[in-house]
Formats: sequence, structure tokens, C-alpha cells
Amino acid sequence: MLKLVGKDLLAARWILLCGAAVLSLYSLQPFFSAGFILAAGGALALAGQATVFFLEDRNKTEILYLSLPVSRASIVGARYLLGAVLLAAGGAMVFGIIGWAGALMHVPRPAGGFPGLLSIEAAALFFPLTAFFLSLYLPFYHRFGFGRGTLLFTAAGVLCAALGAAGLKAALSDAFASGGGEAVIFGAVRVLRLSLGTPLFVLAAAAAVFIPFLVSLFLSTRFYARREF
Amino acid sequence: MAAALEISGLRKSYKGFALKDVSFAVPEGSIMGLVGPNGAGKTTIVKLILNLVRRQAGAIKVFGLDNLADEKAVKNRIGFVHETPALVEDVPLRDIASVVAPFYPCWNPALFQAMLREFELPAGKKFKALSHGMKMKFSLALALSHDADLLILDEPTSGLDPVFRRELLDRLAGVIQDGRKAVLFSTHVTSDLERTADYVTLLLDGEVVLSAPRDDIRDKWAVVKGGPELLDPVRCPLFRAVRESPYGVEALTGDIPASRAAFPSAVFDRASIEDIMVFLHSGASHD
Repeated sequence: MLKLVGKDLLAARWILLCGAAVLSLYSLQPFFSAGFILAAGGALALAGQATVFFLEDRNKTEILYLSLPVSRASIVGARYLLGAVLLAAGGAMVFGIIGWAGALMHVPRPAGGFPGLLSIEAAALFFPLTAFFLSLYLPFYHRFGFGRGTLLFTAAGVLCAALGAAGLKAALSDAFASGGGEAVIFGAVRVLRLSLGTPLFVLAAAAAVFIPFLVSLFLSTRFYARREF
Repeated sequence: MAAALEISGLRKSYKGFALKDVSFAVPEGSIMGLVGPNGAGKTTIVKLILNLVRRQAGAIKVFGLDNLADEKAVKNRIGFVHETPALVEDVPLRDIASVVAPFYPCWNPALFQAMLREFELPAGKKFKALSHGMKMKFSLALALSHDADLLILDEPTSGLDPVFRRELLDRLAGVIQDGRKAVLFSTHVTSDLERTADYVTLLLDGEVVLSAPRDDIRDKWAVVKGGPELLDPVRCPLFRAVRESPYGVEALTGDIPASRAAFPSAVFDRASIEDIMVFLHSGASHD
């Protein structure tokens, strides 16, 4: 599977590097909040995955890869591995380069009740949410291909985000009334951390990453096994 | 002779098109030309062999291995060249090869380098900078560099200039010299088959209408030219198809001796594969 991931990274290397560089430069500016940086890091991971699929679609290379001595399940597995790599790369960007460099350079951030970019709460938001959206995208892609899959995922993603925001607003209406949405979300995560205790909280965040990933992998494998080219 | 590829009872339906019980075999050490007009089902068969589409019935065996149950082992022994070579466009050839090579345990880097030199392909050039012919050469180099036992080429000569077309066909003839390898190539250019193929399978509307050694076809099939006597309903069953024109009647026969006996005054010309394809495709019979 690593060989398959390697060919994707080779194909998209310049675009991914450009995206990462642009995000790094922009995010080091003080007027971007931590919430924005987290969202941009997640979007970069998602865009990276979509870029790989776009290039595969544009170059029509899928038939070549399917003619290699690999099973379809391996091809799907490799795409999830690539998703994990991009998730890790997005995390490294957000918490490593931007968070660390920002802290070192004393880049001020709009606070809004947020505990800071280099915090467990930020990580517990970034990784599960990005993993969720990646997990949502991949079954659509494997079922419908790049064009329709990306469109349907976008619609489903917007719907999920709207439902999530509405759910949070209903559950925490007082807090929403008093503070901005970003502060409320981080506040809620902090409350969760305090009530669960840090080890259990980290475990729950890890489960929130892996469970959607595994469910999504199962669905994608089934969908892709039925695809015809 | 053992079969490199054996297809039996293959079925696949799409809206408006169906492969109907397709069966043929490609012996080891031979080149099989899969010929038919556009839309006859040639590419569908190639896709079924590679498991790019799912069959509804039948069996495909590659060197005795089922193409689904032993997919990885089967694909290890196949080299595939697509009609429009599609690889990562913005990457140098050497990098593309370095991506493909690890998938094949038998990848031979020295052979690959030798082929790049033979085909005059610069390893540092990006794929997108190659002409169609050069892309085809590169695809062929990739397919041959892992010592594939069965080479499958889908319309490899379409869009190629005559010089490279000849080179490619000669190269295919060289591939099977060890008597162990085999080539299946689909085409609608029948002159390619006359030059290279040992066996010919003719597909029309998803059905195999003829699958035989090329020499047998040459010996047994003829175009019969004559007058209205060729339309005689008693003797007409000797013909597979009949065509009337203002200048006379032409018929296709697969039994030259019997037809000669029945129509001693008619003119008999050896039927080319194109003649057979055109006659059978037009479905002409005397109306």
C-alpha cells in the first residue's frame, strides 16, 4: 500500500507543497484566529486528497493502477493511508510549524476564550473533525467517482456542518448568546476534557478519529469492489 | 499447446450491448488478434480479463489461473498497453518507472533502460511532453520490462504513423520467440493482423463469429464473384454472406472446395480478414 501512496504523493507533490507553503505564510499573520488555522489545516488535508483524485481523474491513470498486480481492496486501503498521511501532515502544519513558529515569534492571536493553538483541546478538535470529513468524502468518491463524488460530498459536508452547528447551538444556547461560536466550541471541548479527565478525553478523541475511518473504509471497499471502469 | 489465455462462455450486458458466450483461447507462443468494428466488444473483453468490469457468466483463465480468484498472480504475468496511454503527465519517465517497478517482482531495470534507448525515449523527459507514438512506446517498455508472459494491447496501433506501427508489430513478433509468451491485441485495423497475428478472433456485435489460425482463414475463406447464379437458393447455403451490386454478385464462403464444385465458373479470390469482417458485419445475404 505504501507503493500506491508513493505514486499519489509523486503525482501531487508540487501542488501539496505549494498549498502547505501558502497556508504557513498566511497563518503566521496575527489576525488569523486559532480556529481559522485549525479549519485551514483540515481543509488542506481534504484538498490534498481531492487533488490526488483530481489528478487521477484528469490523467485517467486509474485503469493503469488497476492493471497492476494489486487488489482493489489494496487500492482503497492505500487511499485511506494517504488520508492518514495528509491528516498527519495537516496536524504537523497546524501544531508544528504554525503553532510552534507562532509561539516562538510571539504572534498574537484573537483569543475569544480559546485555550491556544498548542493545546490538547485544539488537537482534539482538529484530528477528529478532519478525520470525519475525510471519512465522509472517501465513500462518496469510491461510489460515484471524482466529479459526482466530490459534489455529493460537498453537499453532505455542508449539511453535516450545519446540523452540527445547530445541535451545538441548541445544547448550549446560553453560551452562544454570550460569546462567539468559536469560543463556545472550544469552551465545550474544555468542559468535556475537565469532566472526562485528560487520559479518557484523549482516548475518546482517538476513538473519534478511528471509528469513522474504519466504518468509512468498510463502505469504500464494498463500493469500489462493485465499480466498473 | 497449452493456452496462455482461455476464455469460455463469457457474458456481459450493458444497456444496448451484450457480449454473448464469448469463447476463444490464445496458445502460448502465439499472437492473437482480436478484431471487430468499433463497438463490437473488444475493449470489454480486455477489461473483463483485467477485472476492470465484472463478468456476468463464464470463465477467464490466464496460464490456468482464474483471473478473479488469482487476480494478483494473474496481473503479475500480464503486461497491459492501453489505446491511449495514460500515466501521470507531469512526471519524468524515470520517476514513472520507479513508481511502477516495485509492484513487479520480476522488474528488470536493465531491460527497461535498454528499451528506453532502443525506443529513443529520454528518461528525464516528462510524460506530457511525449508524442502519442512515444507514449505508446513508453507504455510498451513498461509492459515488457517486468517479463510479462501475456501481453494485452488494446488498439495499440490506432493513431500511430506507419513507421512506428511496423516497428511495434515487429516487436510483438519478437516477444513470442521463446515459445512461452503470448500476445492478445485488439484492433479494427485488419492489415495489422495480416502481418502479425497467428490467430484471429472476429467479434461482431458481442459475438465471436470466427476464431481460427490465420493460415486456416487464408486457406479456407474466399470471396466468390459471379453472376446471378450465385443467388441460387439451393446452393446458396454454402455462403456466409452475399452482396449484390450493379456489376454482379459477390459472396463469402468458408468452404472453398465445395463452393468451387457448386460454382465452377465463378471467380475465387482469397478473402482477407477485412473482407470477412465487412461481409459478416454488413450481414448481407441475398434478399
